[in-house]
Amino acid sequence: MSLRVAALISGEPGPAELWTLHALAAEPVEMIVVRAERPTGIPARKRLERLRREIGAVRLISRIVGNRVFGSWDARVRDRQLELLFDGEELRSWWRASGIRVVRSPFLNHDATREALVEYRADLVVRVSGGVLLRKVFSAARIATLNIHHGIAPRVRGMWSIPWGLIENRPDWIGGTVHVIDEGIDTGDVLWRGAPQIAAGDTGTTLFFRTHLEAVRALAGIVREYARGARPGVTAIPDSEESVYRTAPEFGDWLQYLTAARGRNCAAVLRTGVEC
Amino acid sequence: MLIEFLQSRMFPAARGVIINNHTLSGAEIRRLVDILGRIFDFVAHEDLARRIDRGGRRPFCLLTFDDGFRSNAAETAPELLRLGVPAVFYVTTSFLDTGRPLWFVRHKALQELGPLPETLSSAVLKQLPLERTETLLDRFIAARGIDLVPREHWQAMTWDEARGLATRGFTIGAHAVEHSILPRETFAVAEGSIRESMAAVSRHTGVRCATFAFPNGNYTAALCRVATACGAATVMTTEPSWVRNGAQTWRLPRIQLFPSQSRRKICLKLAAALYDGLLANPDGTGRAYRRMEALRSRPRPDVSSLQTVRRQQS
Repeated sequence: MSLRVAALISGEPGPAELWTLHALAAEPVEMIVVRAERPTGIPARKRLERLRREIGAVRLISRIVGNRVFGSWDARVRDRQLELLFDGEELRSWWRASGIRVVRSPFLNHDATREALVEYRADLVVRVSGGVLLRKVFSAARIATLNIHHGIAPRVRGMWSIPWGLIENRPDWIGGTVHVIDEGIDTGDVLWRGAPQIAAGDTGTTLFFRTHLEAVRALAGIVREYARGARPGVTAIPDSEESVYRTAPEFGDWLQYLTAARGRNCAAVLRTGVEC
Repeated sequence: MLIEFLQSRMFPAARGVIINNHTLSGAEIRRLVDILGRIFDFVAHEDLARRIDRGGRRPFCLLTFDDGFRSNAAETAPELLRLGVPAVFYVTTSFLDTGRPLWFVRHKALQELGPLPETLSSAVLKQLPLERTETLLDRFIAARGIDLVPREHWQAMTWDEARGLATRGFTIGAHAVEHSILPRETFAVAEGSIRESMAAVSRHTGVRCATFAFPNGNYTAALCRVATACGAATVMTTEPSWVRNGAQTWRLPRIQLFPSQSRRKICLKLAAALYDGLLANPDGTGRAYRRMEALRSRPRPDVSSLQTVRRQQS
């Protein structure tokens, strides 16, 4: 019997997510997609209140303004670039014609998601997009729930890891990780990690793109191993390796990232041309 | 006059230029040699390091030709030989092995047939690993039933011709296996391409390959070190500036000239290249080479001291 894989997505899949789905569908597995209509079921007001308690009102406002002013602008530019790099139109044509069964759920951590996974008897769950998964969802997989983290985990965990690597001059954070999802954020067993070459002219988007190509190739290889009945090896992380958590950027972080031409002028990029 | 004045009075450390060409006819090479010969001493690759160190009465000029097109062997080299001008020919080794047109030749041929979708623009293709580029081009060609026949002057020279160039005193350098833009590949693939292409040049010409040029000019310092570890005495980029005294031979600049450029434009370009950062690098990185040079002289900060504790969670 072939391996049953369930891919979790939130909302309409973008080109990067479609690239992942396309690669998974090419493997010798059975596959469904569980699509959440929205990433979370927590009302916006409640989320904001919780964030205010966590980081304070000033930083919350800085984060909101930063995301509204710069984040949405950057997202438009980035989405357009990724659309061209991944050839989004081609991928959407594939997606429409793929015939992959899509099960809908109100949001990722909704009971309906778990029910869909249990009913399908998913051997592997792959989180393709969306937020942090609760145990009730990631534990529904018979073998494991996998994730691609765009950053070298556990060195850097959380969101926006590649831009953080650029603005904090940490080229060693730039890359991708395929890991098993556990209770923490990007803390699970690492099955693969790798980094693209960084060269002059690179930006957060081009590095994300090349990281994604490599990480998806690795993920497909891991799924193939599971399909053969093997268990992929877990990468040993040295105890001495630091681990930091970074979350959404604030106003100043956006300003730093954008004034550095989205990473093009960051030392992390420029130094790769003159030293290694 | 302008170049001699600027170089001798304002930029005495500028030793000479390395010129990057692709295909030139006999007439075009005669014209280029005539223009450059008034300003520069033409040097061979073997003399480059000495001229960078010690300079000369006049600035030097090394001519280089990329890719390994047949016209290099059939037209350019015989004319250079007649004129007594040395040169380096950088060959893309799989191009010589198989004769399969290079990806950018196929792309150019498609562009001449009509407008291409944005996903096949040069800017996009140059961001992709070669495998993806070739897939996109193959798919487009197959979908439209196009039969691409490369023109005579876009075809590859043979290894026999490359060997012939080497025996006539020209230097043959490596230009990767498949003209992939090496930083877009994984490090392992890029490293393999450098090693394999340099080994193939040595094997086929019977002369140890001592120079490597990055396809499209895109490089990283780590890849330069791979090339030098494989025996490259010089590594070429496309940073559009003069070679200065003390230049790192693992990262040499080259100025691109085209046959369509007038004498005045060539002289202006060479004069502008004396000022670092005035000309944009044709590899798509603009003037980043100037900022890179500035960073080189600054020591790398200790990242642990930069480590911020904000937003850190256990």
